[in-house]
Amino acid sequence: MRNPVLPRLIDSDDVLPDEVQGYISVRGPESVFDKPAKAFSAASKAYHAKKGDRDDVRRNIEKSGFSVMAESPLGFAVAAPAPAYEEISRGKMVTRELWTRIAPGVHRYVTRVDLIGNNQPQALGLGSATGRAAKIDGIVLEKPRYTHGARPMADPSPIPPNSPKFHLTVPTGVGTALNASPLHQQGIRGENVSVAMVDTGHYKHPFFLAQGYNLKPTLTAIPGVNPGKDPGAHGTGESANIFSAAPGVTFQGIRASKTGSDLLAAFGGFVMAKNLEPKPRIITCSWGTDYDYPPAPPWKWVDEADKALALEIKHAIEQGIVVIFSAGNGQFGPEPQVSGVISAGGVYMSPRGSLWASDYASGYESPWFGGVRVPTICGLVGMLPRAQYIMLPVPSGSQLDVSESQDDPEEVGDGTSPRDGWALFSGTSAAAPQLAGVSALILGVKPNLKPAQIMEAMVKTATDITSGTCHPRFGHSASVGPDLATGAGMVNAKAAVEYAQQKF
Amino acid sequence: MDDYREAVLVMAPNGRADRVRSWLEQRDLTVVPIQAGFLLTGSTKVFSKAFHSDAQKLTGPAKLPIPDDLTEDVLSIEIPRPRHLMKKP
Repeated sequence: MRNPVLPRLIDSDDVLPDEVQGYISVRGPESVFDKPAKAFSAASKAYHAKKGDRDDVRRNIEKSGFSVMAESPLGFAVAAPAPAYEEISRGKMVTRELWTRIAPGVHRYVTRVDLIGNNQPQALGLGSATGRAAKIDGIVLEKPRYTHGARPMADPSPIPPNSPKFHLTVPTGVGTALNASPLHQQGIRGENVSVAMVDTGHYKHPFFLAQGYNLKPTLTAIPGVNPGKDPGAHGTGESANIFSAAPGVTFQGIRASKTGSDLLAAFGGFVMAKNLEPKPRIITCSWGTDYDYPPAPPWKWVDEADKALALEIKHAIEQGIVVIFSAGNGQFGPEPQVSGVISAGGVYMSPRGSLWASDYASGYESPWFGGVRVPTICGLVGMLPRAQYIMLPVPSGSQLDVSESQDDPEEVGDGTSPRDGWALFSGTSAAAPQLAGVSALILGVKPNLKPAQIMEAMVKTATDITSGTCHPRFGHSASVGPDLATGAGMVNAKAAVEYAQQKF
Repeated sequence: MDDYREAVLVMAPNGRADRVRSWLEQRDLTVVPIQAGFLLTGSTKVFSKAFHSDAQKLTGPAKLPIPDDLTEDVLSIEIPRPRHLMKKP
């Protein structure tokens, strides 16, 4: 049965295969594709092509780059790269995702190849030919087939599973805790504000599709990497925090990892985000590096490469882009310290609604940038040891799906299956996209504000946090007024938007 | 692409950007202008060949030797420290 909340056919971020398998039918006395299947002639002979026509078609397709794997009186089994199909059809080859029954009771989106264009048939996976290839009756693009062996894995549910651990859900739980829900009811949703997220990638989890969020095709900073996959799962999961705050944003995922949680192209991903046209209004990054803390005297930058990244970050802010970095989960790195960056720390909201500093999040005074304190302000983050706090969508069976479900020496797993496409996690990785969402809400009502004004609106209206301590590496306590544990405190989306409306 | 790498090239104050870019591109590195100079990307093999460095030395943070042809134009070439996701401490 088709899941009623999911669209049947969606655009795919998957790259085209190097070689596409297909079948080219040569026109006989009758066309195979002109009639509905019920009207098929009883014998296949009605469709047999003349030998001369077959030879003619074969010469033409081989000239275009096709390999003929097998031939019958009806046509050819072929393989060719996409440009060969495009040459004979004058169409464009694309990938689509079709909600497909792959076994009894098992459905998932399956990547399909299609030819599109003015002269192309509507049917998925079917193309037509023109010009010197006119004797071709139709081009059939191979669709995936399945062995009748082990039960295949279905796509994850758009609805999160339950967990025995106290946790927040997306979008409602996080949206409510950020005090963004009252704004959504007023129609303030960050509509059309563009947010770029540089991370492990972004997979079109049914959660995002069911919610109808606006996802641009994922870009990749590493050549040859599939933008449709996110084996690390981190980008997919943490991005749900953005939409929880601002469901109307236009989201641009940028994959900076190659095989999983590596971020081999973090620098390049940031530069790519900054150079997008049109420019994103917000860039959010839930990653960083780690130096000794406190740094040994003389307190100077060691790495020229990190100075260069800091300069890129500053340049982005000067261009009017709101840049948000995670403060760190005990890490001490340069990115959140760059002046003008909104550094995202952590506050924990208990089951009874009490707020205190998360001991998972970094907090310190910058030794490198005078007057900068990290974090600027906080989003929602769990507590040590694992910060399993927000139920987030991930690719089924991905690294995070598996690792968070398993017990570790300090804490039991999240109570979900390792293959269900949902996992309980957070970290300041979650706080940064939450703040990106709140920034989008402000920009949605005040599109001309500068990054410093967005920061001011959030800082001036934050809920002061007066208890708890940040990560033990730094050990700062929250107290009345701004502090090194939580910065200005916990972001309050409604108050920040109202402040921006009244002040600017 | 196997073993993808990125490095930051910082230009000298009066460095000749066109000359540097051309030198790098001739060696199959992908070159993106940044504020400080250029972001270089490519496979470990391409980096090893361009900078005569062992693959093991191409893990950040690492300074790469400035090629003789570019010493007047370039201040430094560095592979950045690895970046980590802010999920686990």
